[in-house]
Amino acid sequence: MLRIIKTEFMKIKRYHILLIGLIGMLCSPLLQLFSQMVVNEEYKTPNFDFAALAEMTVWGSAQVFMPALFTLIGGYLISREYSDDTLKNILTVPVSFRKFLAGKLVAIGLLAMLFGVYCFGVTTAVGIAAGLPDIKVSVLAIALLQMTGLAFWVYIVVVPIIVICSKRPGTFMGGSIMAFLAGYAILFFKQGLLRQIYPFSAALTMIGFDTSSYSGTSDKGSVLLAAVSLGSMLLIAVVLVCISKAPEDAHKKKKAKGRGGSSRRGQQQR
Amino acid sequence: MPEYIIETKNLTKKYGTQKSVASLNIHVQKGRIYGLLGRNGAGKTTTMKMLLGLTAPTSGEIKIWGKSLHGNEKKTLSRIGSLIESPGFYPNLTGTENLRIFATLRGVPNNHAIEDALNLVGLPYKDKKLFSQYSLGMKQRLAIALAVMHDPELLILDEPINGLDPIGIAEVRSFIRQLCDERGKTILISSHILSEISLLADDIGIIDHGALLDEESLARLEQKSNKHIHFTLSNTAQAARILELQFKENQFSILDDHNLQVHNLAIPVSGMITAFVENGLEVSEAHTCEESLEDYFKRITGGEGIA
Repeated sequence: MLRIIKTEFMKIKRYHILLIGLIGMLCSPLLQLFSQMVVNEEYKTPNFDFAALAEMTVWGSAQVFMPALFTLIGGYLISREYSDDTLKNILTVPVSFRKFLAGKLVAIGLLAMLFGVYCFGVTTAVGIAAGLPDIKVSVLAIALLQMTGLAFWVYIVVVPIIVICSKRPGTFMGGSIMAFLAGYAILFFKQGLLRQIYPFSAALTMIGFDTSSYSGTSDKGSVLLAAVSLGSMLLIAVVLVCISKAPEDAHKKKKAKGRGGSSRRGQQQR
Repeated sequence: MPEYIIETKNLTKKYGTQKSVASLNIHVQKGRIYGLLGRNGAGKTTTMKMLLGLTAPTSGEIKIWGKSLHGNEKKTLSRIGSLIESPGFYPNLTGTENLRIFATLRGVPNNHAIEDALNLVGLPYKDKKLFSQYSLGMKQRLAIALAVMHDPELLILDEPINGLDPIGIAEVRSFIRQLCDERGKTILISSHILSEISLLADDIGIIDHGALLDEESLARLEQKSNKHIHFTLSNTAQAARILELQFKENQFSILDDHNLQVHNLAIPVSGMITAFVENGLEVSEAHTCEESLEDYFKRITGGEGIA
């Protein structure tokens, strides 16, 4: 398994999709800062400091950026194994499709957490560049933990979508849209059991994020119910991986035979 | 009794109602090169995919090193190097980086394995050129390097010379032969190019429409090709009597009044001509006919030849 994870990191070198992830995560704090600059005075957050920027970035990331980007990147990394026709080389090592998929998902999870750290980095940079007050170690530490933790939990939520997309090459874009819509739907679950167990709300609960001022939730999040919700998502992902099979002939590309056919015919004459 | 490295029994693969491979029984002997010859779509690649566990057989059995492949994939496949269809690599990485990924996955202990494999196929080690910038020939060479990198005992190569230039073809042919002769590797190679198979293989399996039509050593296959002496003369009935009475020979065919074929090549042609002329026959033509391997292939595949 460690070998699979190691090779997954070797594969992503020069992958342009990572650039999309980096730009996307940068957009999260920039968008929050920009919205503070352009909205009317009465809608502005009072005492907009670094802590407020970090909190808004966490909310924006949970709602929009992380679900869509993680599904897009994860789905793309799996889909490339089909489009580059590399799956046959892996399966004949031999590495079983399930083990390969599991290793890949772990690697993408680690990558997602690195994106969380990166999100913290760019948020801090944006905060410093914008001259926001109160950039203290304690605030920075909370922001780092929340963003990294959020990346981990959001990834757990979108793993089933990534696994489903892995069965059909090229469907990751649809999966990304689905993840985006699911993330955005967090606004509709404000109270009751659904507020507690809706996976994206649960992800925020797990990092101790107060959603009341963002989505107007009236109930405080229950860590236990959030853990059950996220555990269920993880279980679904594990089951999906366990029942997954290498799509027969999915690694098959159009056969490129007969290249130079006419010239070869001459060679057949003895 | 020969030791078979690969043995299939009634191996069949169906896609829907269409049989891609039908009751295939192939026997690949240890330390020999087995050429699977067939036209495009004959079932060569499907057969190789089944041998590598990339596609499941509909029925039949595959034995590799005497053990069923089913249930022994991990032990068996790690001893095999393969190239199936077009080379599949990560376009964003160099050749060396690509090989390093598979060396890591395989746990190749030899630090020089990548460099040695690249040297073997004539590709530079630690070159900065990305796989996406490779020519078709370079891609094919890299795929062969991947197949041999972990020093496998058995190589399964599906059309390995695809995309190579004539010099590249000769080089690949030479090192495949070397791998077999000097390192004792067993090699199963497929091709739709008869001349390539006949230059490289020790044993040949001819596959058409998923069925194995013939399986012989190259030498035996060449012997099986039809050979005869063809005469064009004034009276074949009289010539037949001369053959029967004077040469005690009855292995001949009368085609018409003027054409006759003698199938026993042991009788000297000059002797027969002299006998015919001395008995008043006019001999206008006499020559030895030898059916080429391609003619043989055409004959047993129903005259369609090779694509």
